[in-house]
Amino acid sequence: MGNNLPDQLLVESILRGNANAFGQVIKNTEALVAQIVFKMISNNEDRKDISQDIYLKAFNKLRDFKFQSKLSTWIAQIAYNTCLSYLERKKLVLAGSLSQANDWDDENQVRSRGSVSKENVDAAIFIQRKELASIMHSAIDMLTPIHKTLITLYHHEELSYEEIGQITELPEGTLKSYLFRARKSLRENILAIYKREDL
Amino acid sequence: MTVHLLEMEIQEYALDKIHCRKDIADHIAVCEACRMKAANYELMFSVIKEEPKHSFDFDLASLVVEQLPKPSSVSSSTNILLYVFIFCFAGAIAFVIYWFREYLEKMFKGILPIVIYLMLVIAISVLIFQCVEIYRRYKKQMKSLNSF
Ligand SMILES: [Zn+2]
Repeated sequence: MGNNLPDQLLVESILRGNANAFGQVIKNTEALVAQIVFKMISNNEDRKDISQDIYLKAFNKLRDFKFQSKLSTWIAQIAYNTCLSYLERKKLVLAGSLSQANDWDDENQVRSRGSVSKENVDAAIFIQRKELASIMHSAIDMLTPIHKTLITLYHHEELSYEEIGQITELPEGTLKSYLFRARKSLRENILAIYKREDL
Repeated sequence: MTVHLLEMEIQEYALDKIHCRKDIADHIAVCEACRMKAANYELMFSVIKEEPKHSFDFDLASLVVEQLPKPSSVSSSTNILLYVFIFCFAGAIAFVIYWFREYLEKMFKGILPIVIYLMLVIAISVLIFQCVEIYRRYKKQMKSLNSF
């Protein structure tokens, strides 16, 4: 992430009134923040306002940062919460994405049997890498904002469950359940697009 | 009738086939349908990694930094300290001159006024030179602090 100076030095410098050090913090963390903002907010103008809002909040709350996580994780948490508040304000948080947490348990109850179920027909489709790459973006876009973000943080940013848990403030069990559901939905989206476009 | 793996177990295998449960690995080894599903997941995970990363198309750091409150309170308190110091210093010198005024009078009585002026000019020049040097060093330190 190009963080040349330790978080602590940067934070101390900002608290002494050095605005340039905060500029450095933004440069070090904006890649991760962009991933969250782009996945959760679809409107480009709103993204610009929200990203500034995230960093102004981080600046104002900096005295509360106690180095219990990486500075980038702490700012990502502010980014996630700011986007979530925006979605709630705009009534864009899909209830489905939050009520699906129990599907984890439901899945444990149902084993697919035999070789004629729909699941197994889907499984028999073997998608080529190039085809998949061409439809991946659309398939991710069809997910709910929270699922998109979780998939991106885990599979794209390659953050650990612990780090994603700190960002989203979700307990590990809930987080794993959300991620399971997100991967399953993504796979279903891919198959739907694949069949529709008859690749 | 074959009992296939749960979707969750297939994901578990696709995420980490080395450390996954033995019964899952054993089933995958013999079941074509579950193996293909796991392969689809693995391919999906690896393609996600190659998705282009998003980035803001504007200079976020500049936009935010220019909105930050200026650290005026810090510099004004520094200035107040500086003025207090100068006032105390000037007071101390005035006090010394007042206290030793008789000695000073005697000391300078026999000396030509031109020599006194010369001494004053040298003393003031040295003082100004020292002050400029201190200020320059202070500026340099502030610059190195602000350089990141
Ligand atoms: Zn099977």
